[in-house]
Amino acid sequence: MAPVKQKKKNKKKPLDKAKKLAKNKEKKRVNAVPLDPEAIDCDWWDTFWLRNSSPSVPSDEDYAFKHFFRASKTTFSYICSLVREDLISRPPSGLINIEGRLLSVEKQVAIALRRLASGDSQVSVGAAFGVGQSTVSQVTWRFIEALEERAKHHLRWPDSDRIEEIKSKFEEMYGLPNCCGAIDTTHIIMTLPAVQASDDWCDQEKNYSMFLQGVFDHEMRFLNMVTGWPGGMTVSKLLKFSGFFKLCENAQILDGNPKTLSQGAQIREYVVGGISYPLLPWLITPHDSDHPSDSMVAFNERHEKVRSVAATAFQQLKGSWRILSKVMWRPDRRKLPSIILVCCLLHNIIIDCGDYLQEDVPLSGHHDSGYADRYCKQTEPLGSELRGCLTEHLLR
Amino acid sequence: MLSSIIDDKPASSTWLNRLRLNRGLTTDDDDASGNPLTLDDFLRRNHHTEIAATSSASDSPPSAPIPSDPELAESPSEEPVPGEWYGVMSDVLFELFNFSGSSKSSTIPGKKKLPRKQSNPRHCSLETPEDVVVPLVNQKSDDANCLPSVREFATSSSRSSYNKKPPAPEIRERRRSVVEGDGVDEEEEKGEKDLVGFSRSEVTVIDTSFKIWKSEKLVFRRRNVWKVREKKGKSRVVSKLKKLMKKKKKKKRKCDDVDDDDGGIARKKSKKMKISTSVSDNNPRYNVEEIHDEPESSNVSRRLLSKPRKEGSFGIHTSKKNSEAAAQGYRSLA
Repeated sequence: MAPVKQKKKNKKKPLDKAKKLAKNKEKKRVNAVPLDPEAIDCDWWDTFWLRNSSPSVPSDEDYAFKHFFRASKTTFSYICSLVREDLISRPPSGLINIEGRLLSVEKQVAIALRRLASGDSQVSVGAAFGVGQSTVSQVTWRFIEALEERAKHHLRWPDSDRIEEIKSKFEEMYGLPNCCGAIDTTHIIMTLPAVQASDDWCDQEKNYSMFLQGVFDHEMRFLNMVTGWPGGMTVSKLLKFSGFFKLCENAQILDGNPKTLSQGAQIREYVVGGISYPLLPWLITPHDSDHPSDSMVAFNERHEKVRSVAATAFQQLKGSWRILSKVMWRPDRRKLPSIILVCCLLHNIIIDCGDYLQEDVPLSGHHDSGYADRYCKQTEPLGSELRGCLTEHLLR
Repeated sequence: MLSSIIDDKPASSTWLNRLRLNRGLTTDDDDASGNPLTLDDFLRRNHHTEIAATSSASDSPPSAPIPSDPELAESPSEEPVPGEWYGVMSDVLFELFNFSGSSKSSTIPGKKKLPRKQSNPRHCSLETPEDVVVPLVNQKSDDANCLPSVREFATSSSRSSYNKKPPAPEIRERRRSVVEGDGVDEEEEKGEKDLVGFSRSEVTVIDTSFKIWKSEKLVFRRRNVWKVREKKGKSRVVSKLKKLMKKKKKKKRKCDDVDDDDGGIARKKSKKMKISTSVSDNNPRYNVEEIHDEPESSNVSRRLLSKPRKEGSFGIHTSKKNSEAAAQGYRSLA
């Protein structure tokens, strides 16, 4: 019996090949044909706005647009231009909505942004756009993959000119000389299936979470970020595993011009961090003393203001892209870092494009609500010395 | 074979007779009950002289039969006569079957007989006999040198030896908390090479500090000790295989064409460069990292200047293997 079957298969093979070749030719022909603009869903915004207008949505169109997608129409167009090449739909592979029309790049970007901005379920986001859950899933992931490749230039360590600008702004705003940024960490909480529920991901508050660490400039722009490390670590460990730590320890960054203070002390470049971080020559934490002097109190107040830049940035990030502030339901842990990264990239794009966030967008509470700072006792003499100089400088 | 053994029985008895005669022993074959003496009976009676006799017996194939072995194994319990032969046999048996009352001449270390267990058990039943654990700890009373799995095992059963300090009550005050050292000894981890007892997680890390932002890593954790290793994907294995194949091909080529030698080396070098840069993009100097907290003895209550604060006891040490920056290392002041 078996040989007979084989013969049949052998007979079929040439036919199959011929069919495949013919199909490929058809595909090529179809792809070569220019798209019919009418077949593409271009009036998606009007339809969407009409369908989703409610008392809570601003009546002004531009405001409403920002309410849904966090970005202005101009910034939205820019984002579309970044990912157009990857998302452009061409039949027959293009995504088709319920009415049988192809999804435009704009609509795909809108679906993805809405999913990230609202953190609503794929089903409800799909219902808002008149597409299915699977389309939302597919479109969002395609967008994430595209943007994490195409928007890298929006998140990079600044060059020396830009660093000088940042330092002068920090000094102007908060009085701390030669400060290059503020560092902070937040948890992205998720649920895990029992099979994957490892203690490594279980954090201090007994949530399963993933860390996101960011270094921010005075405009709350990400200068550096790392994510993907399990929430079971401490913040100081996260720092040590991060590339930022290695770059700083090897003097590849934060090794620019030192500043000479009036009392003659030289201040190197540094960032400011909270009590969860160790005191290092390039990472300054607040004074921690049972009997603080006035100068120490004054320093800590200034320090806290700079540090709060990072905290506010996370508030804005998690408020703008609510998918990060909601508990994610069993996310793919390989994909989650990409989702987080894209939210960080969007955060920077919005700042770079000069958009402002609406008042109700940032989180009202702390970005890591429910989490207590874990005090890190690690101190290094050079860090301590630098902090002493800054404290003295602020007193004058 | 069975039939041959049966057939050989009379032959072996005649052989025994001949042997006895040769050695000048009595040829009285029958015991008190009148049954003919077997080789084993003979061995039992004359264990001092029989060792030589059995060694010579092993030269003759038909008498080699092993049926006597089980009887020998049972004999110590039947006849508890102490002697060299039984001493040797009991040692062999102890080593073979790992009897509880181990012989003094046993050469098998106890740690090899560790029971298989979960790499990171959460619970350990209190019935676990400590006397089983203790001798397995490499004959050292110090916890620091024991196997990780055993330490984990012992820890859960007798916590006092491990966690000297009780866990700090979690302070619920917003944004203020304390890190409590869990009593992990630093030296304990230094001597450790394997990852037994570590939980293992695969993580995808995105770090904008590197040229290639995304990387797959393996995170190993036991309590506060974290180790990170680069995840070696299939592609690497495949590439290694490919390299091997290419090398083989090149060798063949060298045999065929000697002129191509320089070009081949140049190509090899360029490929090596490519591989090294692709690895270094993501992890320039740190192939393996391990970090763990060190316990702090002080438990002094602290206060942040601007806001009320709690006590803290936390320190960090890093040891970076294969790293140039190891010398620069992390300078602890604890």
